[in-house]
Amino acid sequence: MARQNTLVATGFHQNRTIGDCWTCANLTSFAGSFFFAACAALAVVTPVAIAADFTPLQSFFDNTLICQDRDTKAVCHVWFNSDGSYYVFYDLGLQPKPALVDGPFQFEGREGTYLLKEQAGGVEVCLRPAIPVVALAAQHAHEFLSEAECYPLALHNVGARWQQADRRGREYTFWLMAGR
Amino acid sequence: MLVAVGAGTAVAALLVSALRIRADEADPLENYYGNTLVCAAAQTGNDLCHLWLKRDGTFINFDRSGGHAGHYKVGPKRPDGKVPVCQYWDTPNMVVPKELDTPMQMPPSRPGEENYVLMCKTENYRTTCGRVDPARLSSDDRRIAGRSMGERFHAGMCYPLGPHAVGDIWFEADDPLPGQLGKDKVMLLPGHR
Repeated sequence: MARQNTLVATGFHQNRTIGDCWTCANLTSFAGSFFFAACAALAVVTPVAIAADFTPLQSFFDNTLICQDRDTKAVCHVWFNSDGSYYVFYDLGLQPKPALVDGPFQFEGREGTYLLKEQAGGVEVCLRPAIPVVALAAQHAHEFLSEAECYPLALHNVGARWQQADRRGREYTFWLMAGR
Repeated sequence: MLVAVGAGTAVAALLVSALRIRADEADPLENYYGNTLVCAAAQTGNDLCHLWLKRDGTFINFDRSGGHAGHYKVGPKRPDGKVPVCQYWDTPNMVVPKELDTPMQMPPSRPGEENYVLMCKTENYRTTCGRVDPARLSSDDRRIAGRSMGERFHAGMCYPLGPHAVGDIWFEADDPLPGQLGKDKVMLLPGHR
């Protein structure tokens, strides 16, 4: 049990956010605001061209993050991939009526890409769901990782079980389990 | 004049024939790509699984045990117009914490068959499952019958898919593991959800 609740040292550079335009930022010191504007535009238009560092989530790759909302009991299974893509699958529990084309569904899923921001004790995972974005019941319920937002995530080793609140103060139990 | 009409008719016939060939060659799974196939219980309508078939031959499936990635193989079109789609999970894993693990509900056994085991076999892109007496199985078949659900899908399970439009709801009586009443309720929904 000792390895549970063991935070992983991130090695994540201070104040660095994935997508930051480091070279460009240095240039602004002598080249003026024109370069800064150009760099900002470059950062927005071509985020893939900027070196992405997903290594803080190394222990999550090829493994499964599982969460359970303390109040709703909804369960999520999350895959973070080393290429910056993610999948999240929800089990919202038995629904009050049979599923039709517009629901309600016990299971829902979403895929997309993510960026990381450093945060004390872990990272913030900032999500960009794939287009077309389908409205999910999990999203309306503000379940973990269901929206195009940033979510705090503590970094743990495989086998860990911990509890953590999201930005709204909702309490979750997390498991980082080996394999997929 | 007659020659011209005859030539026109021949051209039209050729065009119709070409269109038919093209329709036959069209990907029967075209409407499934980018959309979600939902399987539900035939009687209660409870949501059971979601499937995202991808054009590159891979898929994502998720249910109460979480997500499963894999690849699929499509068999020859059957006389009923359906194509068998055999799914192979990348791993046999069911990644669920003990606290959240609940046993899968299986249909009750018939009297005298309480000790029978579920065996699924695939031949010619068709998977059939049934309860069998383990005492009558060969050692090879006993090993197959002893597979977990994850191992069965890792080894391959074939499901027939018909030519459906997004928004369709239908019942499929030819699934290898129907949930209720010997069939599954199936829906094809727009987008990935």
